[in-house]
Amino acid sequence: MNEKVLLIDDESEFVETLATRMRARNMEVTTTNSAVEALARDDMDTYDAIILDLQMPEMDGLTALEKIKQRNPKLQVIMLTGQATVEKGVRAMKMGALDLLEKPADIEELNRKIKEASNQKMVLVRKDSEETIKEIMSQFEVGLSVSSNC
Amino acid sequence: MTEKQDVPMERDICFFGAVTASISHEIKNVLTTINETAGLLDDFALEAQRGEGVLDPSQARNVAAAIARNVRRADGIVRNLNRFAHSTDQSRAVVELGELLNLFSDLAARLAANRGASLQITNELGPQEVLTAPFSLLHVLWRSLEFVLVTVGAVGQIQLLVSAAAVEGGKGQQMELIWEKSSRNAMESVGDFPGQIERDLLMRLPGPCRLRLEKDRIVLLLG
Repeated sequence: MNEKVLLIDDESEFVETLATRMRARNMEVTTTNSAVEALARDDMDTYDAIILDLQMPEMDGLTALEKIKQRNPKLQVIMLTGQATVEKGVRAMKMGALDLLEKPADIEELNRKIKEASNQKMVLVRKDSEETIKEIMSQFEVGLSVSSNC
Repeated sequence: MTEKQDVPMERDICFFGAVTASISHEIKNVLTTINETAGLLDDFALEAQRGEGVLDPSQARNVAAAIARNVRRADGIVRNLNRFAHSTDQSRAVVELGELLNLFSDLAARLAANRGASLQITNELGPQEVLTAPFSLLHVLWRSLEFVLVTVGAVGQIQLLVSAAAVEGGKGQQMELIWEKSSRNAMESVGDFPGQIERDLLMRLPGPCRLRLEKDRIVLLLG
């Protein structure tokens, strides 16, 4: 399966080079240099993983993470930062980030994290679908028992 | 920095820290890009080794050019860091004003970008050597720009206009930080500018100096 990844980082040359390397590893990658631009995308829910830089102009990574999670808690975000601190890492994880990787990140480690994100999202979507089906089934059963009582 | 202690040392250290933190972020960004570019070259080489492709010389040259470009970028950042560090060498020194302001513009670029603004210098003076307190002049300009960005909420382009000015006792220079768009009404928040720290910093500069806030600009007059 080709993972669909959204890469958000204001350092354009870095982002394009990383995207080239990820595409060579059979990932479908979209890049953007701004979290504001990323949040305006209609297709955000379709990504298996979102790679998000922590420090960006306009909107910083933690604010963007909060907005992404508010929009869809199932979205899996991997934070990427040049200035990792334990405090920032803990904050990001508490806000629902899958992980925080320090730049320069090893491409294979990033690759593994993206696959983990994709699996995690799939589990959550499946769980959601199962609950929806259960709900429909229980309503159907109630309907059946009402009609059989008539 | 030893002649006068009228500005609390912590303020100077905070300014120094803010600038070096911003520079370290820039350096880290460049190193990350170089690392990724080297990784790309490694990917190409591995593909060729596995017989999945050939190492295209033009591709390899593009990668080498990207690395060289980023090394030059890092060199510029480190040169600015070095010049900034040396601005503390003497409390007063003769400097080429345009060069010092270009340094300020480079150092402050990230501060402005983080607030959705950019700084552009228009120097009507041409090359001009002046006696000043380099570190304190950079500090007062930094604090002025911070006020413009944070308190006034200026966004978009901010111009630093440098021109000749008549001051008490002869000719001087005028620097104006001019903004076009802001998220707030500057006159509502004029409050405390220049504050005590800015006034103390002016005391370190030679000659009569003035700093004032106007409707759409901050004006610094150097004697």
